[in-house]
Amino acid sequence: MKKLLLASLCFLLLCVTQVFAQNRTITGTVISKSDGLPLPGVTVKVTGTTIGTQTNTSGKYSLSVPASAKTLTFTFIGFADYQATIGSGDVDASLVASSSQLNEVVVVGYGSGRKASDVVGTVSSVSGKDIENRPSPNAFDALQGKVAGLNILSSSGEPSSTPSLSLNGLSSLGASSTPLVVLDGIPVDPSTVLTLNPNDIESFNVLKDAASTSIYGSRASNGVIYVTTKKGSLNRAARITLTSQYGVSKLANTDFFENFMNAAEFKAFQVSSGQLTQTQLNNTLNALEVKNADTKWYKVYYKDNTPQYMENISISGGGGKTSYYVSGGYTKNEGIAYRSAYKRYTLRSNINSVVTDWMQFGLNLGLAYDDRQTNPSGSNSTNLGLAQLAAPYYSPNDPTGQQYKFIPGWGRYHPAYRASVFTDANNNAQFNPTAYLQLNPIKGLTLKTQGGMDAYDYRETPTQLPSYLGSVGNGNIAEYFTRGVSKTFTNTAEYKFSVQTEHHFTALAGQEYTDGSTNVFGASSAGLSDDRIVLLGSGPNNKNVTSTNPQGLGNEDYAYNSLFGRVDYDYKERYFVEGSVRTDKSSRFGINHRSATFWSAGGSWKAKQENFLKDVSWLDDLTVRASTGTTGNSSIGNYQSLATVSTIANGDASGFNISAAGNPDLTWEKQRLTTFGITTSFFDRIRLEASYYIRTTTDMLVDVPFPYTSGFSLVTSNVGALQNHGFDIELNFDAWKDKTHNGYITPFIVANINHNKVTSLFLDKDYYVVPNTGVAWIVGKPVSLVYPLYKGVNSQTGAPEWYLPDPTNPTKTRKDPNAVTSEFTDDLQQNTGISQYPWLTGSFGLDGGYAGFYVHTLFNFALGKHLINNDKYFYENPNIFPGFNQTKRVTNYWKKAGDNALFPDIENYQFTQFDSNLIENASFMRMKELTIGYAFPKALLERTKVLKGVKLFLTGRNLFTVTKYTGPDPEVDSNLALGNYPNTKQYTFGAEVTF
Amino acid sequence: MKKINLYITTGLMSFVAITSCKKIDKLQPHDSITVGEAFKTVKDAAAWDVGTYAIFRNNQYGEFMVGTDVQGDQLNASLDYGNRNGSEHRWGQFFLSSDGLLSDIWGSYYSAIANINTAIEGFKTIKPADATETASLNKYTGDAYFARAFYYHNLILRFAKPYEPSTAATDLGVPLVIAYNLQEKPKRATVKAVYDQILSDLNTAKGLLASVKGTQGAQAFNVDVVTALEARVRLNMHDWAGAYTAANTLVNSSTYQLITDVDQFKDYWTNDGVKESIFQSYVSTTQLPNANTIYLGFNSGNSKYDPDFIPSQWVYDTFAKTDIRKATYFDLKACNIQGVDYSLVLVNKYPGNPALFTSNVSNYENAPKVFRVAEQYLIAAEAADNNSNSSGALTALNALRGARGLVQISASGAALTDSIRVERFRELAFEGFRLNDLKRWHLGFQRRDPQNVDAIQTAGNYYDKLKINADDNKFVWGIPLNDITANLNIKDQQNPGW
Repeated sequence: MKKLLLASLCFLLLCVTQVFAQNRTITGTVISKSDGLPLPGVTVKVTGTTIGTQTNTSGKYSLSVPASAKTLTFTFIGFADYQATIGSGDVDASLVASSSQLNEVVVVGYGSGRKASDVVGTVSSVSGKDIENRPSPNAFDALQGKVAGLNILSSSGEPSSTPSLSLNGLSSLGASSTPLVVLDGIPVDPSTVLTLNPNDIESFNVLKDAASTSIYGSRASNGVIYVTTKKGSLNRAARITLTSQYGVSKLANTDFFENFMNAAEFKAFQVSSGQLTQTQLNNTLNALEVKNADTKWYKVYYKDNTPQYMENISISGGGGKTSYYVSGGYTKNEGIAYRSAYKRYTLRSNINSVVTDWMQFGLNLGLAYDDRQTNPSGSNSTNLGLAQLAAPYYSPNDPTGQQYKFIPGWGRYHPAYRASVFTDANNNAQFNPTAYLQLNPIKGLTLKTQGGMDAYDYRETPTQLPSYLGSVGNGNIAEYFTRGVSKTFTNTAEYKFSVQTEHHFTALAGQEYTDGSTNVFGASSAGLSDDRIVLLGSGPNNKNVTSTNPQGLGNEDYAYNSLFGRVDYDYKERYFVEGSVRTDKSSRFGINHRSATFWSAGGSWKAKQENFLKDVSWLDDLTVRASTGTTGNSSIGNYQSLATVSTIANGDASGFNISAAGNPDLTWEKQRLTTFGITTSFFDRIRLEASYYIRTTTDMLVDVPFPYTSGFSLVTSNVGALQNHGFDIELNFDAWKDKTHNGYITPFIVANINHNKVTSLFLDKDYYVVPNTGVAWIVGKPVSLVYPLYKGVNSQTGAPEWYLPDPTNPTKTRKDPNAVTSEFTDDLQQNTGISQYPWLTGSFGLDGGYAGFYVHTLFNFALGKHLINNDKYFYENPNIFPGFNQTKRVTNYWKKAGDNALFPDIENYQFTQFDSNLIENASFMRMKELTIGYAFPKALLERTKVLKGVKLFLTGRNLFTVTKYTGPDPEVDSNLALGNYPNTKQYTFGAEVTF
Repeated sequence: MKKINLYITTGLMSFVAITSCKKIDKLQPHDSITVGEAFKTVKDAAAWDVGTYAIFRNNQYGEFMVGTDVQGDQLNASLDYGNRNGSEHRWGQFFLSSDGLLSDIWGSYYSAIANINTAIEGFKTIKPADATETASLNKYTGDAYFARAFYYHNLILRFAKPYEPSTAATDLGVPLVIAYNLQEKPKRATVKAVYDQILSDLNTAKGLLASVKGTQGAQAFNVDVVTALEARVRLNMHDWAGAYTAANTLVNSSTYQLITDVDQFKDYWTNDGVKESIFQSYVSTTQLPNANTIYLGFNSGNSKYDPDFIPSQWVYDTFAKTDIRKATYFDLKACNIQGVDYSLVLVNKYPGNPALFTSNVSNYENAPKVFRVAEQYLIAAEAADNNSNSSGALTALNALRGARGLVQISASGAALTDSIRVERFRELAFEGFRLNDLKRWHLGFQRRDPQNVDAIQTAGNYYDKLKINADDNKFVWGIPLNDITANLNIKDQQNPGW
């Protein structure tokens, strides 16, 4: 009955239209606002009707409309919808490209993404603009300090190094704390980011809370960094961007190196301290060819002003159905140490096509080929890390100024010579494809199938040339091939629907399968006789074949299979709730302990939409959110649940030996994460995001100590618990705005405060010192450094003194001046009360601009970070390492009663022991970024008819560092600093031209 | 059309979903198999036996040998020694239970024992097909028992008080693990219990290896190798008669002869000759033993030597000019230490076998000579002397002296004892015996008389002036800190002074 009525009504209406309508014809032109060019194919409709047409090739249209029509709606993919009132004349439209729409859409794990403001979870986005043109080949370097709680530290000046990453503290005492990195929907190894061209990145989205990460279940307990590469836009003229940069690298900080004794000081010290008699010293000096040398050895071991280049070209745009982004990049970075360089070629092609209104597909191809050279002489090597031990009276050059190959006195090869005869070419061919096919069979339903790979071929060729003086005419060579492939296939079905227009639902179900494998082989030969012929096949001797590469990687596989689902609901886009569940199965765990289920629940409230806040004019936005859920961690070796037997050879036979203890009970490490957050902005000037989180990790995957009598010293087991809690704050505000001249000054602060606490251990222990690390896990305390607590030198006796630990409880820090000893033993270890990890990390800086000029600066900082400066054991220990240069501090030792000296009596005591004296505050502040640029005005460029943009910029990295740390570099992310290759600073100049 | 596409895609999706589940439960490592798979046949047992030998080789030489010699009285640290082996050389507060030397050696021996225990248990589950297989399996089992006895003997020498018949039943030995059990947290057994286990294992090995005859330079365990270890063990446990009998079996065997010619003797040490060797591990350029790198340190940059440790002058002087060992064990080398030239006598007992070089210069690799017949002469002499059999002692002692180019002696009483000890000092110098001998004899020492005081470390009184009293606590190594931490049952059983 109802239907009949409806149909009759429609018929009637139709008749009315037919009979009474007096149509008229409207014409007009549609252009793109950005470049003024006509847009063909734009749909023009009378608002609210089906009456419509499309623009022709010159952007013109003609449409017959009823007299009652009031407005026209222009829609075009890639542009914002536009409505225009029908007046007496032509109705023209100038459409605004909606590339910004991309930034507003946040992908929170599968599904089609949502508007950033509607996301329930805590997601921080960093736009590609903040990453491009940075003077480091690794995009993660540019991410440092950009996201509250995402702590990125660069431990090395090696250009090909990957910085360490952790999100909101330390998630596990055993398994990795590195977040899951997802590139265009495919999980990749964090080191893959080194092979990405940073200028290809559209955005980084950092998923922090359970609501956003639980859907990634497995491996997501450390958070997720979602990397999206650039796309073209439909119906857009091609945009060609050329970027070229040149720069130089230098040591970031030379304070440490300048603190060593010069020749005169060292000679005086050697005699006055009794290390050498004047005669012995004279013998040493007389034996040298070069007299009166005073060498600053860091200038020999590190080069200065090493060059770097970056060249990029990209073309992006799109037609009516297909969009494209294609780019090529080249970067070359020479490290300041010898045999340290990175050279990379990249190619990317991202194509998306809307085939029909119900089907689309995309194909992203990322290719990279790079050559790497890394300096091998790090920890405890006098060929770099400890090269400052060389006495300054030795000379690296002979009396005629020629570089020595072998440095007399110092007794080591010159680093330049070493680098020339010990070569180690490494190269990597990287392939990162992603393809998807998406169907919309009925309204609201999206089916998507996606596959991708993280694949590389890595080749390493260490060679000792036949001309090497240590083995003339008998060189050797090895070749190692490593292939790693991780494949991920994902199928999802998403259904969006509304009930009564106010209730919006999205339901998602999916399945994902990942498998990874590495395949390795290597071979070596010796007896090479000619530098011009160094091939594996040329060496007649010692031919050997292996299945492991120098990094210890062999032939391995792993696999994950996962099922997941999520339901989102909102009421009037004001109240949001969502829940997700995921079950994972991993090959890494015991056969009966492979599956685990993770879940999350969260909600958010857009308070500003409420009537009682709508009229509060100073408040622009206020959203509060809360979520809780679980995730898992499986970042351990591949076969640790199995007790295995591997091969060992004797004579011609291959035999067995036990290679792993195995743990059949091994299972997922679990984490519960609860987050409360608030997003607000007010006075149209101040924007603030803050959140509080609490993370509890249980069943940690830890290498638990076993007595050697069992046959093993460590067995990976699920034990203990750890808690992190803290705040993330991101604040920026417009200190000054001048809209007419496009002027602004926007300072910002990004900060994280984190506290970690061990809440339980194993073997009923409340205290465990990780062997040879100086690190202790103490129940109820943060991860702390333990060493004998150094009191100082007794001014009367000249003896070093240590506080005696509390005999009943070494976890208590005991500094009783009446309980000291001068005898150094293992029993002196006690909790120093010093935490290894910083409690405050983040950055501050500002963005500013006026007319075409712009400036950006960012200072990165960490407070409460501590390092055991292991180098001091070598650099401040003259009676253990006599004859080696030392820091100037060692001259301050006890000589007579009453001396308040830094170091004890040189006759009877060692200057430096492994004690709290080595623990230093490695808090630092570093000027990570400085960019000053100028963009030429549009008006000027329009006259050229070719150029769309020209930009010139100067960029600096690590320009200065403030720290109390006395070692080479405070940024090292470790408990121990051991002969590190310190960070570098860069100055670069660049130009960007857009056509 | 639309529907067809939809079906195709849905089909594709379910295909991916189904195929993807295939292998999670089937993934196995490529470079290893599970323990349960490793005891199917006698061929598997043969593989475990090969493993026993390979591990045995890896537990000889390098720090397994030089560690105790560096700790002893014969060497001085050069100015360039860079604190390598510095902790044991300096004793006292420098040598602590967290030291890597202790955990390396303790850990390696117990790891080897875990392999052996696994093998012995596994062998029992293998059913040999015929008599040949039975004989093979017996040989493999015998090898395992012998190796276990060897490791426990080295453990008890280093980590427990010397065997004294009156207190051995109460003195703490080392934890005795004779069946593999990952979760076991054993207490320390008594010294006597450990020695009893060693003798029991030797006895088992002797029975199983009865038909395997000894040969010069044997690379496999045999009845002579078992006897050689038995002599060593019985000497250490004051079973003078037993030690004498065992040692004399080998001394009187025609299989092994002492070398009397200096060139032959140099060749024996440099090129890994076999004449004096009762057991010598298999080595090759791809199966290298641990290297003895501390004595020479040839620097190809200036073609001079830069050793970590230099023998004291008095050590060199203990050897007579006519002694063929003097020219073999030592060599005068042009050294350059911290830029200054010196001419120094260096230990040249392990110059590296040129057949094992992997480049133009020595890698200081020699085949580990685990049992030499010369040691058996010294065991016989010492055992006889302790048993008041001075003629037996003199026979063995003079036989060795004669072979090495020394005159015959006819001492008795304390002078005889002293002569035997000095001979042992000379013959077995730098073979890792010295510290254990001092410990057995309850002697202390004073380092003295370096060759050139300018070339060595002299700081404080812990280098060239170090004085160690008899039975100093650190003659007995401490239980590694790891085990004190991880095994609550021995938490209170640490050795005194550690």
